[in-house]
Amino acid sequence: MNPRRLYRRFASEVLVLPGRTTVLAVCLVLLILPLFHRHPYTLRVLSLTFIFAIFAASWDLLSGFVGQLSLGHAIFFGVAAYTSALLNLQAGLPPLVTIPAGALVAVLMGLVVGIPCLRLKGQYLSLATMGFPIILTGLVYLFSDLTGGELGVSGLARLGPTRLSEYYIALVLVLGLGLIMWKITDSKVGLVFHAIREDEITARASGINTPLYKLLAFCLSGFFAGISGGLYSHFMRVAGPSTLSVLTSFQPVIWTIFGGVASIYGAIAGTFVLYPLMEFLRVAPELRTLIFAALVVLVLRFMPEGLTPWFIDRVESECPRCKEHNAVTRRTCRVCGAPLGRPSAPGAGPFQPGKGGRVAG
Amino acid sequence: MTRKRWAALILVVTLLLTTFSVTGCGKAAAPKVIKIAVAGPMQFIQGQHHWLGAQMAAEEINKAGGVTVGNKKYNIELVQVDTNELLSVDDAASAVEKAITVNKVNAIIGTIRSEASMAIQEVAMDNKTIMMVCGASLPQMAEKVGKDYNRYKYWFRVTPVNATYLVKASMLLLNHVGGVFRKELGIQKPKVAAIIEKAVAGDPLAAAAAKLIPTFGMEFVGVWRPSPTATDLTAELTAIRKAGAQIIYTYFSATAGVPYAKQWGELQIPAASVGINVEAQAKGFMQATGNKGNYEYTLNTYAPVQITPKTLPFYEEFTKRAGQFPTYNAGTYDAIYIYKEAIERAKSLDPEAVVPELEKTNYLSAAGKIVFNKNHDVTWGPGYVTALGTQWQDGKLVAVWPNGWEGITYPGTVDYKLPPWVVSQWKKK
Amino acid sequence: MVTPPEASNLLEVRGLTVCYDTAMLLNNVSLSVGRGELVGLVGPNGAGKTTLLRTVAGLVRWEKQSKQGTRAGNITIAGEVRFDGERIDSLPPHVIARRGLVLCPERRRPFTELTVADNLMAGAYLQKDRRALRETLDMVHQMFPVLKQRARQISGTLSGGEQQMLAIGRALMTRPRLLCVDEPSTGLSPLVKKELFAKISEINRRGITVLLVEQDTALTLSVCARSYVLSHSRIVASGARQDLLADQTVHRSYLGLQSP
Repeated sequence: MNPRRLYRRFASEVLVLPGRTTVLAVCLVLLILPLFHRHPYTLRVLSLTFIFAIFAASWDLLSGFVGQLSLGHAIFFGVAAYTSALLNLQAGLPPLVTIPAGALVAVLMGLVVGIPCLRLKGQYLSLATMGFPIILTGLVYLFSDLTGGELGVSGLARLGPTRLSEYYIALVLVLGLGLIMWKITDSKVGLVFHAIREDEITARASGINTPLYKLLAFCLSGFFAGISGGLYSHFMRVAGPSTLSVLTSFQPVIWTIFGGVASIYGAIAGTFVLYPLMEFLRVAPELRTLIFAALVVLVLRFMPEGLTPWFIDRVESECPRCKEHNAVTRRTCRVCGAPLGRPSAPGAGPFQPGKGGRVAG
Repeated sequence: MTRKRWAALILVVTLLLTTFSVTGCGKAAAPKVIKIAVAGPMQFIQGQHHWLGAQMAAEEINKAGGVTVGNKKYNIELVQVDTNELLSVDDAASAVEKAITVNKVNAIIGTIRSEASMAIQEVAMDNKTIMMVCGASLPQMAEKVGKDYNRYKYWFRVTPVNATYLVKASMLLLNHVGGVFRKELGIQKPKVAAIIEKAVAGDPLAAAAAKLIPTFGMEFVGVWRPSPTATDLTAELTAIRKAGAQIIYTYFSATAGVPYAKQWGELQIPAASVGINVEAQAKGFMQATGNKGNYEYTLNTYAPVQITPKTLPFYEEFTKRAGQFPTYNAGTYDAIYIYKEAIERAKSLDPEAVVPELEKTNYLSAAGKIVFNKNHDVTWGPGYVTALGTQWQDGKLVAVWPNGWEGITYPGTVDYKLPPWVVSQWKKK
Repeated sequence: MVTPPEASNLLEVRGLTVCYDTAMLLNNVSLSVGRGELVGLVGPNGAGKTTLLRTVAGLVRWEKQSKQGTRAGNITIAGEVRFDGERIDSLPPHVIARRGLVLCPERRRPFTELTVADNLMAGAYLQKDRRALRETLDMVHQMFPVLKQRARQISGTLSGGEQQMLAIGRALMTRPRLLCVDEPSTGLSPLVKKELFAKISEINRRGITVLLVEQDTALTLSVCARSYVLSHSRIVASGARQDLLADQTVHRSYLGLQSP
């Protein structure tokens, strides 16, 4: 494609919206960061942030988008971590093979979890999901000869030859997989997921095979969570029962809710903010968790729907006529030319049938 | 208009990052200081003992003039690292990486949770930093030194003796009690019940108990597996009594050890209790059991006996400072001394020079003579670290083993006492 | 009773009986809808009209399956439902929808968080052929121009009448052969109701068979050539428009004075 055309397309799809431009800016900063700052500790924290962001996004896909609230998401993370670890240790396979293999096992796990959960709704579904990591933990301890019991599996190959390479592997994956997940939600499949979340009965009556799609959601979510589990085990070089812990299950929930559910980028943004924050708070070791919790609660008080919706609301506004998003600084819509007011301005509400789409005043 | 603003934003962020990298974060170690990171879960007792033991050693050494490296004197500076390892493994690893790469410590001591200790081991070995474990006990960590010496040579374990030896030692305690049954009660083949908490480490032990106990000339009557955090063990104890057990072999690493001992004393179960009960190592045990915990007999690392000339002063000072008896985590005290001596022999702080000297360690610590085997693991055995058998008698925790075992009796050791109700139940008239 | 010859019946319901626990919601109900017809089903509140549509669409059987093991799962279904000659009693709802029997449920129920355009696309989920999709969309836009205007609007912010049109539009996107509409006029003003019913007639004129369930008896009888009256879970009357209007039973059921 002609570079000028490409740039114009890029400008019209990305640069016009402050939200997307910010995402781009953050990505660029992260990509070039190591040119200025290569401290292994910083790279470690960021690499783990990226790995956990994939995990959080996978949770959002299942729980935020399809409404199947999973409180035992560690099952996918842990089963993939153990699988990739064992394949690496026992069969000598490299991370390039073990990580996708672990993710595939997590997909199977998606079926194992999803099928019983098809009939369940609400709290019962969530409780049921909590059971699976507990069961697997029990199995881990039962077969401790194979799994190393409480010690876990260790002596794994590194994710990459250097810390810097590990950083880039994690970064490229979070950006790539995040984009893929976002594309899924933006596609027809995503539409179906949204419909199922809102009103499963109507979706069924519209001809959608909802159980099939719910299983698909479990499997997709399991896949991406599994990738993050495999990345984790090779980064830490140990895979143990902590990968199946309650904390592991709850962290993506917190990060995603903080960042904004049902958007994928919200989960990623939430993790990008909260995980390094928790690390930064190490300066006050006794008060760390308390300060963290207090901050989260305080922030949510001002951003009740999470970080990204709040942010988008600050920098973008919706055209009352054509509903396209515009930069908040614009006075007329970039698509239909209608005058833009602040969302709370009078006359910008819903319309009476029969009238045209015009803003009063 | 908008595009310019975003460009400006990107520029500002980039400038910030540049200044950040130029000023850097973390200085090189200040001259004449050896930085040692004490890594443990500081909100819990294990981490607190890590810290207190290390503190004691650092203060003593600094007061006595510090560490001599070649012709310079260095002070020890401790860096407290709260690993939060009981809750999160990646948190622990990041904390240690920060200590090494940002605070630039020379060595790491501590850790308790095995899975986290492994992850921390990887971080320390990546950075070629000396790591001395005082808490995590699984043997597999040491095997790595043998398998990949060049990478793992910086790793050593100071306490406790690894899990294999702990089990062996606890079995010796069982035999000790068995011997007392034969001698004092005339029972040649005592009946033994095992009560082993339902947790990881307990599983192989439960299997081993059934096999080994008959080989000691005793009769195995069954194993009971309560939850590690159980609060009511009357069911198990009643069943054990019904089985006619005369000795109970225990393994409790968590809170169930308290209600177990309390109910055992209250119900006066006619069986002597011996084995591992971590709660019974604590000063508050008598109070926690409502004074019913007398005669409970557990494996321990420290007691007020003279294993070596260092033991009693250490025990008393630690108990004074902490208000608690030292557990094996307090072995950081010895670890720092061992490290100091290795540095002084090597005349250098360079890990490449210190490691060979650490390997030559032959140190009389508060727990016994510490010598590392080829896997850099603390050696167990007569003449080395044997561990102790400690029993509660009249509300006091005393050492009762080794008492002539392999010719060893530490000064201050007293005789084991069978609970009187056990004697009256089983003594052959 | 006037019944068209069976061979051309698109929908044939025979002896349908549905019980939820001990409550009998449908009692031996039989009706038929011929190809190209616009058939009405009226009756008082709680007569069982919605249950009939839901059963025909397969939703009651699905509810029974998914609630197995709970107290609400004690549902029994007896009788026969044939669509275009084939039995559909045991098929899941999405398969029935794919065969061409599409339900537009009561209380409208668009996917409120999605835009109008997305709602229509959700209905078009079954369509693989892009051209056919385009054509169907154009047809829906022609019929309901407001849907084209409001394409990007979040459907939760539409007015009641617009939402109903959207629900029907979404059902049309699946290119149904039989469209079952459940009480579309609920909560709408008389003017909007009239407009809506005119659209339904138009849909029928375009060749789509329609089974219209309604509370507003007068309006329904006025647009449907043939109707059934359901009262207390039974069919109490059926026939051509003029016959029903003259029938006393209809008035009784409508006014609810006496149960048969």
